[in-house]
Amino acid sequence: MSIVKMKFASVISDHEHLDAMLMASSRSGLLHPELAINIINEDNGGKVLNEENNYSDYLNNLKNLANSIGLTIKEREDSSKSYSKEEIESFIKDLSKDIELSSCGEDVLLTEDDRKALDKLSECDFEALHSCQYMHFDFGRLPLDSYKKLSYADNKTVETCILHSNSQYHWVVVATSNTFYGDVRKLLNSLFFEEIRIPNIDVHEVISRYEERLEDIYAFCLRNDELYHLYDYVTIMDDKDYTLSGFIPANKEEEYRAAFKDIPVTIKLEDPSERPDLKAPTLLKNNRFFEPFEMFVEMYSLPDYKDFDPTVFLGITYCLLFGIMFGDLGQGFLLFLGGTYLYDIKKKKNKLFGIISRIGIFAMVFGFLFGSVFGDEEILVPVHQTLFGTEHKLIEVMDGSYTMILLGGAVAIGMILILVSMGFNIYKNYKRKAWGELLFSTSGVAGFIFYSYVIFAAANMVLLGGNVLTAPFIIIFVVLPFICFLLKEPLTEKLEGKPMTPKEGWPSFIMQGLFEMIATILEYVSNTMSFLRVGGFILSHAGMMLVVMTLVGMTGVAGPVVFVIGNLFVMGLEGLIVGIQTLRLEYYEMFSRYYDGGGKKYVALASVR
Amino acid sequence: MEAVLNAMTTKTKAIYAKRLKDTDYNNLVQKRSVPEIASYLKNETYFRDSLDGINEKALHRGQLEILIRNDLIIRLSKILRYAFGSKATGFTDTIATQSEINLIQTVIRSFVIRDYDQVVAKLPVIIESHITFDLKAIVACRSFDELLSVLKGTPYHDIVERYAKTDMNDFDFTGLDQELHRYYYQRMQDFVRNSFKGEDREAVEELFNTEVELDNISKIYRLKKYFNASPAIIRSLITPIYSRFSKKDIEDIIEHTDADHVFDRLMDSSYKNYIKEVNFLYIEHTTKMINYNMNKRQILFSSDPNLVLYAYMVLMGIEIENIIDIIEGVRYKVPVDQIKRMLIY
Repeated sequence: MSIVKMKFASVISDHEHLDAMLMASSRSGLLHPELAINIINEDNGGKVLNEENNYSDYLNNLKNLANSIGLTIKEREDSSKSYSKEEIESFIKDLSKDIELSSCGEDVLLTEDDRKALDKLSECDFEALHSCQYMHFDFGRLPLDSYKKLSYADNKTVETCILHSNSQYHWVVVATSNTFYGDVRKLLNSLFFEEIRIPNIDVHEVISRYEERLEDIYAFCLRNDELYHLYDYVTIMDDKDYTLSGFIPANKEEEYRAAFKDIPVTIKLEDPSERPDLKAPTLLKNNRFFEPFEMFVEMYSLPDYKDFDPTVFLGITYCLLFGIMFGDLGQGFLLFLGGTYLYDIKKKKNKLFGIISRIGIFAMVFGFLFGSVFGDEEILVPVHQTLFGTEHKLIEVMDGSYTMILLGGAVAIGMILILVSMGFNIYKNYKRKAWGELLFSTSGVAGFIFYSYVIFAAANMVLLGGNVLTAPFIIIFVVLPFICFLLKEPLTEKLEGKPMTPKEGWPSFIMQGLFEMIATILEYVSNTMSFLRVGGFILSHAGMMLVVMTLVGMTGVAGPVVFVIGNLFVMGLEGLIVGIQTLRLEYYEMFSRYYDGGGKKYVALASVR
Repeated sequence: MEAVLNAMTTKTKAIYAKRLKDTDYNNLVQKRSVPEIASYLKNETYFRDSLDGINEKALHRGQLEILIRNDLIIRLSKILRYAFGSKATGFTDTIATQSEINLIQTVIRSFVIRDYDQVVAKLPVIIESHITFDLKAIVACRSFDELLSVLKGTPYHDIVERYAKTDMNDFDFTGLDQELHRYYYQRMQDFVRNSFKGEDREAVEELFNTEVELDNISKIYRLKKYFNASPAIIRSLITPIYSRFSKKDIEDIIEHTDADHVFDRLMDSSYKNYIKEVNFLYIEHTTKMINYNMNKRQILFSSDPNLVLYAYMVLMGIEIENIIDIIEGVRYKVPVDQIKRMLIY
């Protein structure tokens, strides 16, 4: 239930062991690397590793060559040996020569669609196409509208066959007699035909001759290409120390060291606080129940490494608010069942399934308290009577006399949540030592005092008939906090030992502050009233289910079908609306008071094969 | 109907909002090859859908131009889905007329240069359902007789017949082109007159007449400057449609004004309100700039669906010309600032 502590790890090797070091680090799956350009500064005199990566080109060439003979490269774990650049280039040259592959443009790379079309064409046997004495075959891409235009032309001299198509082209093979070839070719050129030369080879023979070596070299190039991408993270210190730096979880220190056990490297570990120039990444760690709610935190913004993780508070309040708004034992059970099956049993990665499972439990709890099972409001009456000793049900959602209680209860929950949010804000600013924000802001101590007092005064007046709205109380709990709000910036400056006078001058500052006060009051009111929707949705859910149950009664024998469809409809529609509304309450009414985000996600280096 | 047609205004303006902007033009002129331009248009602009699936590296610039032009017709058909049977749908027919004229001109030129493949390449297949003659038959034409037989029953028959000749060496291409253009303008005028009413009609008519008038001014300038043409020849080559200049003004320009002063006359007229800074590049650049600014004003401030659509088509036509200028500029390695000066946006 926290943000995982990190260590800043620097692994240093010589040039000879650089690749082994990078591979070991990426295979460990623990390092969140930092780009070399972030590490280098004038003081440390580091340099970036600049080496030209030829392997990307080799891979493209190999892929194209394989495509042209209809060979699908089977990816291997690793190559059987190492190849020098000369060896790879010579292999590509030999293979190209044998295949005689060239397209119209020199740098034209064959695409996946080209490969598909060539595959199809290879069914005809390339050699057979080339060996025709009186016929000529051309193969290539023809734009769709050009193909249509071709159909308007004299088609006695040319035959076309579509091998493959996409949204822009038909891949066609064009057959014509040698007599008309010149004219046909001229026509095709005017229609922007993009030729792909038909390989002049015995494909099967070439495949059997080159396949093994091609796949081996491909695996070697692939590994090296991935390795080259890691060079961006390597800093060269003193022209000899090749350093890979980044953050690892502090508790994985030994595991990370073990990854380099056979490689001569030096590992240096520092606390992130020793590297203020680098922003440490955030990795959330929560227990199984709350883990899915990390998705909502990430959607908003991850917390900064130095801040606290709001996932648990968000998880509890989300479940609670959703449960209240979507209280139905039967429907909640279905949500729980579906979510648990997909997330916890089938291990689907989408955290939304986990959230559905958790909120399903709370929907069941509140469904039980409201006595609602798939919209049936009577079925739990005997249980309530036995358990709670009530006359009918514990909470009669559809009874008019309960309406105000439900709405009042919703607002009360909102008030508590707002106060707790303020508490978190005070704690957060205490950790940051931001005294001005802590003491004088609308979500700080001043705001907390004002808001608690207003709640207390209102509750005292409504419930007990008392009155604490007297001058001394008002001065202490209303006027004073408002002066704090108004003078927050100058007072903060004062606390920091700076002059209090605002830049724009006092009159203008006060005038602006007074208008902001009006906005602040409105904000308190609207934030609180926003929770009315919690009560509103209890009523709306019950209302919708009442409609479903009425329809069930009206439809006679088709009743069970209407019952099932109605329940599924309400679950889908209202589940979605309530889910979104709850998220809105979390983000707007609570996060806005205590949470900033701005963290950087911990992403471990992808493993190099 | 009016309320329903407002949807067309909204749709047109929404599509217009996706046009190429300063940043796009700045990025495009920096490109060093046609594939790079195609790649930018495909990945960064609203041409995404039309260019999806192209092989940028192998794409011919001619095909790129066709795809961009076709995209405008696709966009027009998207907008016209909101026309709900109003006469605005006739816009597509006017585009078809223009395509038909281009095709007839290509066919006649093919008689001279004996390159019949160009006719196939120019076939307007994207709007073939709006074409009024047989495309398969016109592709097979090798003489005026064959062409006239294909055009029989269409308004083009009589026009082409007047110019038909067996000896193509002294064929009057300029005269035919001018007459076909006049027919197009006539067709446009009829379309506007028959399809729209009241202020709506007046506003579209004004935009259209202005476009023709500006085209006339360009012609007069060029004929005087480079061909030293006589007033009689100039008169025969312009279209007698007037907007901000009266017939008398145009006559005066034809008779008494030399080429350099034609530009001054333009700048002294009310058209000057549509030019931010006088920066003479070539006459068409200025007239197009005026036309652009007039139409832009309409699309920004008008809520009339037909007027907005008309302005949109003009503005997008200019956008296409900008892209083609960039493609040509990049291809012939014209300096970036020079390409930029040519663009109108």
